[in-house]
Amino acid sequence: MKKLLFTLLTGLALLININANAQCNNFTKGKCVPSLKPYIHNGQLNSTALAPGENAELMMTFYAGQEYRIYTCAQELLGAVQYKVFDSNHKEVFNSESTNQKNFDFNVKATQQLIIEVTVPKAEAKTGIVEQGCVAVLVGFKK
Amino acid sequence: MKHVKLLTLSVVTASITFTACNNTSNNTTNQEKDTVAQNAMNSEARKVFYSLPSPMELSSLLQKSGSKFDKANLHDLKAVDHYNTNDSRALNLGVYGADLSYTSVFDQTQETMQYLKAAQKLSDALGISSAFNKDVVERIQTNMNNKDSLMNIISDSYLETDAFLNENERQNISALIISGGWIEGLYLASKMAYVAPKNEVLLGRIAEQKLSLDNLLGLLSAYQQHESVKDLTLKLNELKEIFATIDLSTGESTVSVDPKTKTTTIGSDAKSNTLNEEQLKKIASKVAEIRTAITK
Repeated sequence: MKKLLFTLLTGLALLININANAQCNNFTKGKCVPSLKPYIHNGQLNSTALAPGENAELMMTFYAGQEYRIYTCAQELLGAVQYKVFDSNHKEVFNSESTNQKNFDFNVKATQQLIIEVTVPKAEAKTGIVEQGCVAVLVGFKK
Repeated sequence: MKHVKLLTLSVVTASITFTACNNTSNNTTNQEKDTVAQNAMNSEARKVFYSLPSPMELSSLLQKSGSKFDKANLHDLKAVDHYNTNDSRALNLGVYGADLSYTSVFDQTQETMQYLKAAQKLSDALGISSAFNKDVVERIQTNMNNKDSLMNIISDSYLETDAFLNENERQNISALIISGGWIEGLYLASKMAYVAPKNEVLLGRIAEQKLSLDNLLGLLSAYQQHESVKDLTLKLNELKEIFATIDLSTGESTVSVDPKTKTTTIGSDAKSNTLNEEQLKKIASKVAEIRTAITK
């Protein structure tokens, strides 16, 4: 009986997760990817569901001589999502809070690993249910 | 609003699943334990993304380094029908996809169409019909002389592939495609370096793959329950040992903003990266070995 319940719940969780992933992907493709232009995106859909107070990190190598755009995008219900960019020594090199920009256009003098940290602001739960929303971090380069 | 509820329900259901598992841990089978471990790992892993430059960007870097196109380095088109498992199809979709990017960046019209068809075949075999479909083929044909559009269309196909696999809980397949693409990019770069050993820019680009390899291994770490991912990780770790002998120069992370373009520059002038003949030889040999294992 427990095994059956386990299987049913796992199956249900999987089905719901597939639906949630599809909705998050559609949001990213429809609302976020077009804002990367004229930069060419790297073909990876870095999006996930986050709740208030949660954060996500993206690690990527950026090459000297290239022009890049980092673009963060989140569903409105999450409020003003903030992001910071750190170098490999965890020194902050960009903070969206001070610029209020969704996109960060930059280049690097030396090829290096950067970490992009996105944080959803904390919010008081009105209904007792934690509301999650889709957050995407996209990276594009110029030819 | 509906979206939020669905996402919330997903988390709640997942929590119930994990709780149920904890209460019955003594009775669960090994298979169930593996499933739960996998879900837990995915749940943890989804908050950290390891991203890699696309084959399109790597090809663009190779072109900027002044390297010459050589058709002989590309994967054999006749081999496309030989792959009969999803894992081998995924790895080789990555390989053919990188060749497609390489041929398009280097303006090789005929080869671009041939590699597009190879990518289409493997994509179809994997059930990802939306990625390299008839519409994409037509758009590529129409925009063959517009490189910017071409690069965007091919990048869109990669995005469709990633989205489809993510939606269908097949992220391990996506990781294999990304791996195949990165391996082919490094293979092409090392081949080019052999015929132009004095090309310091190219040597620097190869050396810098040390960083992307770390990210690739980070990406693959979430899917170690899949035998082919585990096997590939072992091989890539051997490559990592060779890259460990390379010292990369990063300089100090200063930040300056151009007031006209509003573009930020991170870092100060640093010594160019490079690698010696022995390191190149070892990297080229190891990546060729990994590629042979994938494409055989």
